[in-house]
Amino acid sequence: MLFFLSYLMYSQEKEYKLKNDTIEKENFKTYFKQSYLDLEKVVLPNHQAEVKKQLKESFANFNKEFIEEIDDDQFIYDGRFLELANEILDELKNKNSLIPKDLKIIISKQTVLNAYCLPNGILVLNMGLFYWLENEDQLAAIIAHEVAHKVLNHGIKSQLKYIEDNYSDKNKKIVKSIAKNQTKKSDKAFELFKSQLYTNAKMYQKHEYEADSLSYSFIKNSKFDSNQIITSMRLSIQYDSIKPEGLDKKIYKEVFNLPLLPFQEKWLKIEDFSQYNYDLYKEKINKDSVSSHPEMELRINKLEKNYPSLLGSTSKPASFGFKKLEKLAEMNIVPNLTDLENYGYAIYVCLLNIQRENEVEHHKEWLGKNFKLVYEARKTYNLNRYLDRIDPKNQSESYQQFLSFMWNLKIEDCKAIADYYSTQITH
Amino acid sequence: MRKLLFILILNSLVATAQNFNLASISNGEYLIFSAIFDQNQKLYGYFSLYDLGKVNATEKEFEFVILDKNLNKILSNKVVFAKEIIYLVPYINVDGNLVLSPQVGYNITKDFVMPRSKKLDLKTNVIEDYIFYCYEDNQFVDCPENKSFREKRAELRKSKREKEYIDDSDVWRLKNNNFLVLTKKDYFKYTKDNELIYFDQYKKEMWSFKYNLDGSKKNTEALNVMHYNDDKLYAILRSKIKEDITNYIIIFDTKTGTIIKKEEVKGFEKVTLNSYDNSTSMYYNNDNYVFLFNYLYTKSGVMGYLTTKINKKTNEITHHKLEYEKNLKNFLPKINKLGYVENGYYLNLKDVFFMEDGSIKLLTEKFKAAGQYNRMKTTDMVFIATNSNFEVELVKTLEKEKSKNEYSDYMFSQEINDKKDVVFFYKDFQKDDETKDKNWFLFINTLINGAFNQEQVTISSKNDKYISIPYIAKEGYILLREYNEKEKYNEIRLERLNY
Repeated sequence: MLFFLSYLMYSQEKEYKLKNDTIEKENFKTYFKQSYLDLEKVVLPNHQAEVKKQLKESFANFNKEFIEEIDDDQFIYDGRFLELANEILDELKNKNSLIPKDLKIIISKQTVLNAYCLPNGILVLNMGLFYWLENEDQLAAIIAHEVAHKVLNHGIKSQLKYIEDNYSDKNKKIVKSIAKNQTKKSDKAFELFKSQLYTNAKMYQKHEYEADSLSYSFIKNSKFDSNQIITSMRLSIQYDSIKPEGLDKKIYKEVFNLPLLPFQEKWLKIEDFSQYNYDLYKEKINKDSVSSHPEMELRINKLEKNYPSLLGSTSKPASFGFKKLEKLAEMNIVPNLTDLENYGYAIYVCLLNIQRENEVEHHKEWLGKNFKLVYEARKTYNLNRYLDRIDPKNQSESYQQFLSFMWNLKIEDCKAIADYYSTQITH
Repeated sequence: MRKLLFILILNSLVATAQNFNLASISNGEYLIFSAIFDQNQKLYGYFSLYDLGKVNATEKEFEFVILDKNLNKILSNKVVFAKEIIYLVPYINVDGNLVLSPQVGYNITKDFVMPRSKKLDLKTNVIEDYIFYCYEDNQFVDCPENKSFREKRAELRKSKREKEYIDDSDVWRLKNNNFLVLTKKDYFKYTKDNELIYFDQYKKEMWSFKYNLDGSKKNTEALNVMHYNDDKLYAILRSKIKEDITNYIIIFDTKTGTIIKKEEVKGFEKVTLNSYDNSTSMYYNNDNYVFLFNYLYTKSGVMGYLTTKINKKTNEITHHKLEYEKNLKNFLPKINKLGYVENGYYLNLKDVFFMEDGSIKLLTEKFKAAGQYNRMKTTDMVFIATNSNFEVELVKTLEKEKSKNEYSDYMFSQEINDKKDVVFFYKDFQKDDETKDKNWFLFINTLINGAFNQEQVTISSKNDKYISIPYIAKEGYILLREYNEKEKYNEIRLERLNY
């Protein structure tokens, strides 16, 4: 019986394990580099020498950073996600001649609800989409939106605006004249810098509205339910308001009271930050005014106004295939956070799931793995790369309690916890 | 090269590249990143300062950001000072306000008037002039604006012509909100009729102590306050008659001014007594003791260290000395009487740790001064642990590569575990035996319950293209500013120490 249970667990773990295909990875890298070379051939000839130089440079920089991410294994090449995503993209392409044929989807390990499309036609979907969205129609809405940005050439337009702001002869002259000022040059520079940011933010926001409109027509022409555009946007609002919270103090005493290391109350002690008045800090630039995305509510209102047939918010059950992917994404939240070196948050999610009695064995196993990594990071004085510091103004009480607990542990405590949870779960 | 690299990076702890663009002009020129400590020497947070340039012909503007002990932003603000001010030093005063003390460079004229410090209320972010108290005609008044060097010199000349002496005073605001005032008659070549006056928080005089009543060119008395608390005030009275100095330790009752104990310092030779409390002496106190620590000056030169220890409970005063040759020879066979250990290297004192049990631990570094044809050099750190009688118990040579042209590899220390224990940090540039690559290492040394422990952490790598600069952090932590080619690791981190 015991053997059967552990076999079952083993096969489940195996089912949820993502494929790590090095050949696919190398192929993608080659494709990625080539696609940027192709893009250069199309875009560069249309511009003058200085712009051409700057565009080339920014392409090169972006290329380097993205290749680093590929090398860092931030993407997965698991056919299960790609199959569904490509089906959706094909449906959109077949029904909309505007959509170019050379788009390629890649799945990122990021757990947040987000996606983006690069100027070279690489569409990056975060695995978090499969967990947070409710059905494939919502996923189609997100894909359509990103594809619309590509069709409207927003990426290149934004880059050109940046180049104009910083490298055009006109702007260079203005900056030079400000720098020559004997007095108050910093104020003058700041005013111009701010106005540029605000102008650009307006441009980016306009891009969002344009992409919303175009993606609506893409969805409308396809088999997907256009009402799910609004629902996915509402989910996004909900997602943005989520902060890590909800962990009960009791769980620490349950999970960290080990035979060789009894729980210690002092681990829960929270450092005092009451001497600081955090309300005094004011950003010099209003974040909302320079946000690239308009408030989601405004976008929803605009869509509903322009397309009155859209229903506010409707639910639609997910297909069996999407549900399977949802579970696959859920079971990979912690492994992905671990791969992305977010060990602290990975442990927090493990504890939340143990508290909710969800996949307890899986989360205990990953708790052990992450504590091992925390222990290694403590040894090399790198833990703050992977575990947040307390930020009283911006973190929930529960998350601050968690961070206090993590930073209160001595290095040998981290090792004892890692050892305990690594030996408890053996397949 | 390595030194250059370190200096470059140290100088730009949080600076970003100063490109010729709008963002960098609007941010101004990055000046300093510095820790802020409260009155109990506990880390409050950090201060980051930028020079925004001139606002008019005579003034310039600074912008600063205050971060908490976890590097979260608390506030930012701007402040205008005379254009001669090159940076500001922040500290927290007894009221808990942040004082920004202006600092000048060398290029000031005799007409320059040093501006007042500014006071920032950390609860409201309101800045105003910080006006010190002065004591004139037996009452507290706001100190007037500073005067230029030329004005002060003219005033002094006038006083000398017209007066026999001038009344002079210094005022200290104490941690318990009370005041200490030292007054004297300044006869220009000597002082006379000095008085230490203790006031309560309402500026009501509680008691006073008169000394130097017969002050003259040949005979003077000077008083230095070593430490005070609500019960006792510890001072050293230095009485000079011709060339001979007699030192007295005086313990006052803080509430009444009654002298609880007055004891002459004895047991040292004349030269030592003459320099017993001079510019190199340092005072320190912990829960149990008040210490004076100084070099042991003798006819032959500096031959070691001396210490005076006052037991806060029993008022017992003990004096001890530690002589290089006599007391360290067993541990460092090559040491001579002046502290030279080998080839022109001597033990250069870097830090002193005064423990709650009355023992003292010394951290020294082998140092060779620059000669006409040689650059200065340092090698090993030498840690000397003494017991409560200042007797050497342990000498630990912490081997380190030779550093050329570097004054010291020592960084800083921190008291931990309710000031019972200590941790200190130094860096070293070492070659890996296998790869032959040279990299920086941070050595974290703890002294906990008397036990010494050392941890070695790599803080740079040629291959991985990064370097981390350690800086002081809250108790039990160290701040590491990492410069890394990998953007995700290019950040300031706060790391918990593994003790």
